[in-house]
Amino acid sequence: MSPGRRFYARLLRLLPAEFRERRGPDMLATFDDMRGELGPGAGPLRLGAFYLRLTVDLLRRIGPERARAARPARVGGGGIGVAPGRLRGEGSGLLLDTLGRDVRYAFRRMARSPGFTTIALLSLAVGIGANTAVFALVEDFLFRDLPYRAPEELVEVYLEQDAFPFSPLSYPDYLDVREGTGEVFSEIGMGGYGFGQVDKGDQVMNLLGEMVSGSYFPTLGMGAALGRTLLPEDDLSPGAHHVVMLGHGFWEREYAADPGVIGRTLVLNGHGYAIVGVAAEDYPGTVQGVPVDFIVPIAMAKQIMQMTGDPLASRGSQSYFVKARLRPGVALEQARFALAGIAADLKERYPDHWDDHRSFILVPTRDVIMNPALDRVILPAAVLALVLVGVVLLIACSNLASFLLARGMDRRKEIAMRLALGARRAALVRQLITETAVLALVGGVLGMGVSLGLLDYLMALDLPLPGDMRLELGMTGRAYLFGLAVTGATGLLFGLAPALQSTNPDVAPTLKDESTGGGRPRRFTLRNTLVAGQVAASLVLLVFAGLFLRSFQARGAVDPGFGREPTGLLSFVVSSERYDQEAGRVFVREYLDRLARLPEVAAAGMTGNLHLTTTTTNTMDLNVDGVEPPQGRRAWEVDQTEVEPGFFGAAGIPLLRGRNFDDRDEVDAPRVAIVNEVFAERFWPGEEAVGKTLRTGGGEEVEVVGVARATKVRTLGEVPRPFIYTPFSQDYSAFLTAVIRARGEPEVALRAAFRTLREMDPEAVVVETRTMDQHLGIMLMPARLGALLSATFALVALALATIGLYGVVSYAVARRTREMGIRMSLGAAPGAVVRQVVREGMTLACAGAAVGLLLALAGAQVLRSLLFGVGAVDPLTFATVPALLLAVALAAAWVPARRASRIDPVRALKAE
Amino acid sequence: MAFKKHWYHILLALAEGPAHGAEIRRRVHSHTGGSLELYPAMLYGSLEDLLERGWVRELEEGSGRPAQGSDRSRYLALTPAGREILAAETEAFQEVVRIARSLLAREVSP
Repeated sequence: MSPGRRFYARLLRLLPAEFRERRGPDMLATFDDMRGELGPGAGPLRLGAFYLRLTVDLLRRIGPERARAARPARVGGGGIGVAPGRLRGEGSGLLLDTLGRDVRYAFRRMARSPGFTTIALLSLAVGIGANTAVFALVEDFLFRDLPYRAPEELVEVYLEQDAFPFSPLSYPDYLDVREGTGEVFSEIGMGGYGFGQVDKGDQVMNLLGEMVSGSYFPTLGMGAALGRTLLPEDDLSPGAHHVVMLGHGFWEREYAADPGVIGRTLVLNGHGYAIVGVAAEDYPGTVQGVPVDFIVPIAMAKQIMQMTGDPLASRGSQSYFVKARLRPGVALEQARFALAGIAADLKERYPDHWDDHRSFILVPTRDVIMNPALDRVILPAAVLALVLVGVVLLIACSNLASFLLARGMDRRKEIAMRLALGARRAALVRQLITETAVLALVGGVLGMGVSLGLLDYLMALDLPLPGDMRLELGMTGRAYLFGLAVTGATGLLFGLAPALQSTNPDVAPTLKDESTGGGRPRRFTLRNTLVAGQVAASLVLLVFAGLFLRSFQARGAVDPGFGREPTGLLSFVVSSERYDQEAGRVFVREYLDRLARLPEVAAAGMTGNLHLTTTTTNTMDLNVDGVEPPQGRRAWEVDQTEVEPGFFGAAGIPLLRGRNFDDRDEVDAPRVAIVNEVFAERFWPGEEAVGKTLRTGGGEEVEVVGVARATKVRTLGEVPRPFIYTPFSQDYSAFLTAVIRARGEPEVALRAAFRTLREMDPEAVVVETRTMDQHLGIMLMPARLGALLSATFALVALALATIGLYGVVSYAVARRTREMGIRMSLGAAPGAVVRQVVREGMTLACAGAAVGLLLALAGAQVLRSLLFGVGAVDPLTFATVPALLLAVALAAAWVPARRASRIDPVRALKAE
Repeated sequence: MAFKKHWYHILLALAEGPAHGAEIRRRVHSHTGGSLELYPAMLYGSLEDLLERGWVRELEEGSGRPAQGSDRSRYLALTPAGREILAAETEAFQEVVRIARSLLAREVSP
């Protein structure tokens, strides 16, 4: 359910029960209609306005419906109804009346200056909305309540190895841990990920699923929303348990939350699975916060992953997340000790896999946000986002404070008069605060609308996530509370200072002051400081945005070393149940032949593991005579893929020396490989790599027949990595990605390739189709999101600061009309007057910019780790941003200053 | 409660034939060229008002409901009293329009 829909459903609860029951479903359906008409691409502001109108519409109906509910029932009944809305607590009447009067007065004043009110509400709505939305996002990750039984007893077991701590375990490792920890863990279970395809006729739906041990849900102590969870009896013998639990979101989306699904069948990868239950709505997933569509027993891993071998047999395939429950009274240290014992034993038994650099790590589940490895990125990003939106809100607040100060100045005489006539200061302060509180409250309500719109917008964004994965974002009660708290804080923040200043009891000077605020303007008024502060803060945000943009640009400019031509990618599985290796090779060859004949296709090739795939890495253990493996290890671990000869041409990776794979490299022929230039230089520096021999981890000899140009392997920012290609003809893989260089649009070629595959095998399982641009786009996503968000915040900040500066200057002009009139009647040129006003405005802006520059220099050091290809003190950014800011400031000061030059001296002098 | 403008539009939409709420909203939207947007609470609250006055009635399952419609929603139809009110209001409108025309005509030709 989208956050907006959930919000509306919650809003409906305000209506009387009887009306809600009769009309609620229809109203929700109408909501869906209207939301649908807006379209998925509607911007956050439009969505915000939509939610606001919905809310107002509903709130306006509450009164009449309550009245209807209180009236004698339509069918007979009768009785004396209590007049609704007329009950008011006795005794508190006076206070309520005063408050009511203040509120009405506040609304009248707001209506009297619509320009000010609009700007104030807009800044507040954007500021509060952005903060609430970011909080809702962050809160979703940071403050999730763990829905497990006794969560403080739960722990997670990871592997630490080499440079990558917190790696999941292999299935045999899990079994050993389970075997050896009976003393310390009362229960232990595990879960891993797998993709499932559901055939919908003309298209394939890719579902993200979990494969869990039978002990998994009992360990967590979680029940199902419907039916039952998977249990130990679903995990007895491999391949025998065709049962599935549905993810809660998937059940709502695909089955319209139909309670009758239990017992029906879900066909995954061509096999039927009986639906036994629906996961609880708050089930967070094995990696918390990654919602899955289905959950099957781990006993079905081979069927789900469609592998030739047994995916659960290899100690090299580390992809299972282990969760366990400590026995009562067992300390973490005891459990760690037990795990260290198992690790020592494994090192002895399996020296090939368990070298000196490997050990178990134990983490309490309540210390985990998503996954310990990801948490190290998530936390700083979350804090940064909160700080950025916080600064935006501060700027919005100081803007309002500055406006209110100015208005307070104008009302000084009125207030001084009222004080002199005996009004209590407290009453005046209360009234002024009520004014700002009403403003803040209306702004806050608008802000909630904006934040709902923002979340809806984020969910509708097409993020390049693996499979058809989607984000589940929503506003929780906590997020609304946060929004309310922010609203209250802002109201106080920008309301109190002006209220106190303008009711300063030092009445006499104000009353005596005959001028309209003449005299020399003070340099360091609160208002000037606020404006300078705004300029400083927006400069910092602009510099950050500039650095992120430059870093995104630098990343985009990195040449991945392949796929520069328009190319489509089609990942598929050659079903190992229906094709043995021999038949599989024939199938792939025929598919390639057919692809080559398609008019849309310029070249086609196959690879088992395309470079820059984020979800998987393939490595191969190997040794080179005369080169010692890294300390404590028996072999080098090098990234590897299986390819057939067409791959190099299709992906645009030139062979520098030697030959491509060809018909000579049959299954029985001597084993061969192609290495990249980094590999050649690392192992045979200064020598010809072609013709050299290397040895696999198993001791087999492999001859190097060619050297290919280097490409990026895992990330765009990496130091060049060695890479080795093995021939598909000798090294079979059932999971393949067809690399299809297109004539024309890659999407068109992809559709043709998809059809061709289905013609050859109607049951062929297509895992994913995407263009090369989309594939490479995944690598750029964090940088793009960072640049997008920081640029948005910075522009909002700049707009707010511009409004602030404009306000200060035009206020100064208005107040000094008389002074200027005198000067002009004495012969001052209009230009000189304008220059002076602009100079005063620019002094503020320059002071702010100078402070901002220093802050930005300091702040950029903190960002260093998030930047790529650009220094923290990037000259271009640090030169452009202040120039841009000062240019905008100049415009903001010049426009109102010009008004000063048009002052008619005679009228100015007559003014008072 | 005085007769309200959006009641008129809802009755008018139902004059086209029985419909459920979402369909009524779409009809009103198109009748008024998008200038009157009925948000859900206003729409269903007004329907409740009209039901209370007996100008609109709910259709039972299967009795004259359009077959192609969705099954989750309640269908509504104009009652004879509703049709009368609609006709009377339209009359009144016509009267206003007639007066307005004649006034405007006088303004234009002095």
